[in-house]
Amino acid sequence: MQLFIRERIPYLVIIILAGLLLILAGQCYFQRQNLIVAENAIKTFQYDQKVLNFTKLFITKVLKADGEVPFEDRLQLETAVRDINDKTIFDQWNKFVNAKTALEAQIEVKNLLEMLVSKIIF
Amino acid sequence: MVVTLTCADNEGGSGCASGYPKYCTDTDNSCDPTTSYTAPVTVSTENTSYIRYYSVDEAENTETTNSSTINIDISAPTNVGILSISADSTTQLTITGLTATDSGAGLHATPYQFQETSGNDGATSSDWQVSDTYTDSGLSPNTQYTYKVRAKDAANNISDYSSTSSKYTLAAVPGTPSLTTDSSTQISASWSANSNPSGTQYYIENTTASTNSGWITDTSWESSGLTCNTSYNFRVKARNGDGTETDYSATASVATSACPSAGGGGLPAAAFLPPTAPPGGFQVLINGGSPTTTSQDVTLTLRGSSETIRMSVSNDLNFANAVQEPYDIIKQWKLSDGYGQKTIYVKFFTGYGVASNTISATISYQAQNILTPIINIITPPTPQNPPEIPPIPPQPPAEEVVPEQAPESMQNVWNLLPTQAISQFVLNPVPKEITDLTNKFPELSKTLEAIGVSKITDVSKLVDNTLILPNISEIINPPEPGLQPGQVAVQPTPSPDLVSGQVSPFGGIPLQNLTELAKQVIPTEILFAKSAGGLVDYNTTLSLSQQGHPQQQLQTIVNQPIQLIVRPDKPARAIRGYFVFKQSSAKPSSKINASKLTASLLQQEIDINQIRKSTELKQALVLSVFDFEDLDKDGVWTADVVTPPVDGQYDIFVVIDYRDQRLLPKELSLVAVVDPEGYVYTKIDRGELRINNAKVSLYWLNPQTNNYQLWPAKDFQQVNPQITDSTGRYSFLVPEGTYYLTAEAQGYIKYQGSDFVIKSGGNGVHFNIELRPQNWWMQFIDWKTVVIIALVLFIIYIIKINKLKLKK
Repeated sequence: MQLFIRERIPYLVIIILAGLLLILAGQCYFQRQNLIVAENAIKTFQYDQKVLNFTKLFITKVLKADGEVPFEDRLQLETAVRDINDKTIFDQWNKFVNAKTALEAQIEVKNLLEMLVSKIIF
Repeated sequence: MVVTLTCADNEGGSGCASGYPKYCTDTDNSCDPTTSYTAPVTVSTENTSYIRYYSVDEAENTETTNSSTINIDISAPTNVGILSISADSTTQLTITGLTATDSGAGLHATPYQFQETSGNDGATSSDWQVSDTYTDSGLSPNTQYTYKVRAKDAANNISDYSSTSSKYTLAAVPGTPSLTTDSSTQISASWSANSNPSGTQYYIENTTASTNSGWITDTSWESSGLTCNTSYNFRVKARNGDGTETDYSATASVATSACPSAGGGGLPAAAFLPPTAPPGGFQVLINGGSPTTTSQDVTLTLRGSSETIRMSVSNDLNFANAVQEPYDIIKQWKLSDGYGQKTIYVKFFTGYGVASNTISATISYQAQNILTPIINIITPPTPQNPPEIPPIPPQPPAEEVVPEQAPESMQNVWNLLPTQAISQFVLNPVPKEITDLTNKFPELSKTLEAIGVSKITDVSKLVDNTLILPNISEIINPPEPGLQPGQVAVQPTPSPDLVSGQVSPFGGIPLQNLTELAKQVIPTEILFAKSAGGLVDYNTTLSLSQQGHPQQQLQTIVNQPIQLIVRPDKPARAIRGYFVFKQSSAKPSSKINASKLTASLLQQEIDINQIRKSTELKQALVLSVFDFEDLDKDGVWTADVVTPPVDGQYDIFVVIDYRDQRLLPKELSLVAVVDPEGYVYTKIDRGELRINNAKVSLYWLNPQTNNYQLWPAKDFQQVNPQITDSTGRYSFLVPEGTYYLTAEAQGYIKYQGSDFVIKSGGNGVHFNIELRPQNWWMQFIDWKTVVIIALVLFIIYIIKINKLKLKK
């Protein structure tokens, strides 16, 4: 009987260790998944924040401007729109900046605002 | 290509030397012939090649090097394809091919050939032809034909067929609609297809009613929801499979049937029409459109129109056991038992009970998987990749891009936001229905101005609020302004130009006491109500329905005579009114406690919104039809009606039929909230007992003497005090003022309530009054109590007797 137990003990230990290892691996996998979700959420949040930051700047510096938008503000806007790093927003911004008529500018402003709002993910 | 070279010397010459002629081939005619010709030379290089050659005779005379050009073309023409196909008519298509090119021999004299592949009726293919355009005629209308083209060059190299292109011929203009009058509200139209194949889409338009069928494939359509005895014009057009529309057909006209007779209790024309569908149509969604549910309880989202007053929801297509209920956009619903596909059926109703078509929605009711909660626990969240955001390609530094001079878009010289759309949204005036009322009631205009309702976006302030409209007496003889709440106006003496005869101190002026001039001051096409011989004016309230429509409302008591008054703005031939049951009120009568609560507080409890919410049943029911009269021909029409004996909400519809037959009848409406009478009762074990022969007296604060006195009900065709019958009921219809009630009955303690203020005219005093018995403690003594006391006394007696016996 004792011999039987002595022979079986190593197997039992190996099985238990394998089980523990499996549990740890599972936990690592879940944690990794959670981390990816969190990272994606942060990325999205940062993107939204940049879009909102540019939207706020655009409204305060351009739409509510009393006169010509000064160079510093235009530079700030250009930096903010580049910071978003979204080609579609950047292209739409350039369409507005390069508008040649009042009507064109009105259309592009509306398109830009619509795009900014629709780009917010959360 | 095989080139054969031969060498021959002049007659008498030495003859060609051995190993000659020599030759070479190239493409630029510059090679040095070094190869001895032994056999025919094969040249296979496409396009232009050259063979250069010379010979030497035995006397070593050397020939000048010769050159021959070899042109080889084995490639078919390129750039072969269909450029465009245009539909010229219902029977002809013109196919234009691309201009083919051939770098070799060039194009053939007849280089193009078009082939039709669909095989539809009338289709033909072309022969080899000069032009790159082919016209295929003799085709069928609105039929798709498919073409491909090929080309050949001068060397007869033929290209493969190009890819195919298809086009529909134009649809034929449909025939003039043939119209049939189905009823007073519906016209059927049908038309001939005019050779168009089945499946052709048609668009028929009722140009008079501005309605249309949309694009349909049927050749008939029913135009419903029309006005009786009115002519309507129809025209129809078609479109082919490519969406090219035809012209409209000729217009056809027909009139709807005559309006239902005004006699015999007829209803307005609107009473026969189903509710108009809202933009996008009636709709019901289960759980917001979710395809599945694991719960039997679901949420319905319903979309009716402004004419939708009630609705009916059922799990059964036949609406078995379904009830009509007030229309609401959200409704909780229980699906039928058992899992599977469940369908909900809904109908919408007008105030007259006319139903819309049945609409339905389906959801799959599934059992919840018992493993789902466990799976939810052990399954980690699946990472959702953030949306793909295309990055900006490398750009020069911002400092270099942003110019010193601001672009025009940022020079503040343009209006970047279009002002028209904004002003239309924000600054539009209030709706016409409200401005019409303010034109008729200048006081209302001032009120709206004071509370800041001047544009369309302010109108929401009026929702769930009520404004009191002035009554006729107030319009003729406005009360002194600046009264504090609770104060009662002392009516100023009206101008003799406006009022003749005696004037009630309460301010109510009977219609017969108004002069012609005063009657012309009464706002037109507004329903007014008076009672008590014209001495009590009902103040109607104005509220805004949830749909944004102004709605007039008056409050009265059951079984009260009311004089309805209306002044048409144009001469009227007849005016007819309808008392239509709108909804019953399950609101319990307001009760007045014998001790503390004041009547005035209870008066405030009567909230129309509460009445609306407590609705249990709705039915469309015309209770009575009455005609207005204008006996003295002064343009002011009156009708004497009695309020219904059952409390609830009623619609009073008034239809003005003008003398000028070109004018459509006008409908006015007023919601009458009819409250029940009050009653006198006492509490008993099993509820309430109505008290017979109770005397209910109403006392009024005379503003001139500042003392309370018995309200002079006789002046208002009423009795004060009132003696109750076995139902215990009583009611007073009083003008503005401060009042209190007393009630007394034999065997009961006299009740005297706190004073209360009636702020607007035409209000009923109808509180329920509890009286307490004089020997109230007697109610606790009944035969059971007596028996118990007797038994207790008997036991005590027995015990005492036993004690006495023991002592002895």
